[in-house]
Amino acid sequence: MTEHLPVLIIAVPLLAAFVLPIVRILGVIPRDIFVFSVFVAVNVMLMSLIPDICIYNKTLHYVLGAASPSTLTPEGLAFPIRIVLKIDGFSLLMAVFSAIVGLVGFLYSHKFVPEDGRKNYYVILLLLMLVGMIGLEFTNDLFNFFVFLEILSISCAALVAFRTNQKHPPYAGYKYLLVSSLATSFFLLGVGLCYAQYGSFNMDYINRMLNHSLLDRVALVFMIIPLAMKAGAVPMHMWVADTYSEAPAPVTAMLVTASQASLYGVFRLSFTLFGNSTANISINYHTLGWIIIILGVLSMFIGVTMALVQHDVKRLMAFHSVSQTGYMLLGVGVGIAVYAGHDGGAAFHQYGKLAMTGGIFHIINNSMYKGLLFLTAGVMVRRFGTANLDRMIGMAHRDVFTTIAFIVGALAIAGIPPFSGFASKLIIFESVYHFNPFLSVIAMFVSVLTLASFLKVFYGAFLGPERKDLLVDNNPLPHGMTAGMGIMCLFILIMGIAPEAVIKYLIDPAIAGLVKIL
Amino acid sequence: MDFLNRFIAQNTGILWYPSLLLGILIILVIVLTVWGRLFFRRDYNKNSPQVKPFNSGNLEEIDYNIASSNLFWGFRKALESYYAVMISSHSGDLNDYLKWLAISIAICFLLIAGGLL
Repeated sequence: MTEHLPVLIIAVPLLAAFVLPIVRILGVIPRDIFVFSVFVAVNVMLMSLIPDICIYNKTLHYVLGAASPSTLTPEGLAFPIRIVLKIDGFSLLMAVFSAIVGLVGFLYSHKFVPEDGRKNYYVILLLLMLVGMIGLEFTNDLFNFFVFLEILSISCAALVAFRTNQKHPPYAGYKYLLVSSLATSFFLLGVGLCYAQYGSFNMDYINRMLNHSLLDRVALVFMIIPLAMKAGAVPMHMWVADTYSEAPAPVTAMLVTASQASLYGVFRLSFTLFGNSTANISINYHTLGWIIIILGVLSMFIGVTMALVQHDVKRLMAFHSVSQTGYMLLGVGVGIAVYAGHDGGAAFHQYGKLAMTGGIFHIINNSMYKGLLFLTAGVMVRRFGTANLDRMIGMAHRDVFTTIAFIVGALAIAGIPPFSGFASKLIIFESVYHFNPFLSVIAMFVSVLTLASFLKVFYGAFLGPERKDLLVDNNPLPHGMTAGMGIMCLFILIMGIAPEAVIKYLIDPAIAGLVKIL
Repeated sequence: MDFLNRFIAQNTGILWYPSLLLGILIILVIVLTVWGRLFFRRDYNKNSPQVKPFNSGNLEEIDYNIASSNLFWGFRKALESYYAVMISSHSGDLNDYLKWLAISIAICFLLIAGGLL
């Protein structure tokens, strides 16, 4: 049974999504119990893989359709012909946090999304979103990656446009769909170029056969740039604010992890597909690293300065998502820039690996605190019926738990100890300083502006006198919403207080799964 | 001590002891609370005008709460030309957005043609 876990983690939510209309016939409560069980089951299955992969440093392979799931190459052939799922430290880390945010998103949605006859579709799309994220994080097959990227894009677009009774969400959903379609079309072009040369979609096989031709580099650009766009990197980030601000709050929290799944694709392709630590490497990793660093620095600065002048709380937070993506790109970009250098990996060992540690640590931190902040924004919009900060005031009198959750999220994103954002930012600042001190200074300045813009939200929405006349919803928060925010707070605090344990058991295995010159 | 080491971020090279800092914070909060209970003013009355903010002028006619959109006005004013470009580029028009994808890919191709990538 345990050898089939890799496929079950994808198949269970996928089948549950299709079975859901039948379960709904039994009633709303059986449906909710069923979906909750599926989310919990996926989390438990993923957690059960942590000892093998993160502690004993194993890599799991699962060959779909083979007589034995571990038979990578069929008899008589020297190359894999079936779809292979490959789970290493990095893919497991990303999948675990995608599943946790998925569970939180469902809990929060329980009463947040009304039972208006369409909630069934909403829950189905949530499950498909989870399938898309975990699928593309697990697969070792390029075409399969494209398929899961499409599943993810379509379910995200439908969820963004879910509130069709309002004016803007359908536009935002359409925008997301068009951006995603174009990005995945370019990605498919890159996949086609690889297949034309090597006759296989298997990433490990292509990596072994890679001759670093001109066509390979063109394929690299066609695959990485669209994924960077889907991750929300500047200058291709403009769609982020338009779509994040119109989606329901729990969907926005999951959109953050969906964007990070695209970021996972950037790092996975840079290292696992095109990475090669041998001496005859011809792709200039220094330039590739600098491209990612420049994208990162622009994302950090433009994201935060645009956030500072927003009056719509969800747009403000969406621009912060762009800014935080910049930190991740900066950390991993420095790792890539010194990877396969002419110094035999000395710079990589001295600070490159640490920069990657910070970048990847920041990915999981961001999924938690950014998700939490979007959930608190959901409460603000629910209370005041608007996302306009000028029309909010005094929430701290009424919603003490939400206020505490917002403070935790805001301090974490600004990099204030003892919350998780501080741990990852400190590692990024320190390691990037060895590479280029100026980059570190920019990163610190951006942190200050981040704190300033969240002070603006705190001042606008939470401080001031209590104004009951402005409230459109004065009911107590449903337990699901409180539980969702509580889980996020807990993770932020734990990862901030015990960063060394997180790095040792989750981040280091993730880097080991990506980089070959350890 | 091995157990304690797990809570210390050693590989950053900087003194960062989250558990120790948290312990100090808890002690500080306890000390401040006890100190406040013992020595702070006792004439505080929650249900009196003393807890209300003091604002001069005719409060009946003006809304004295500053809107959050007015915060950081100086910052925005100082970077007016930067924001003029930035806000116009976030037009909401999908054509504008997608052109940046084409430009980014084109720049990468130029780097390939120039032998830099």
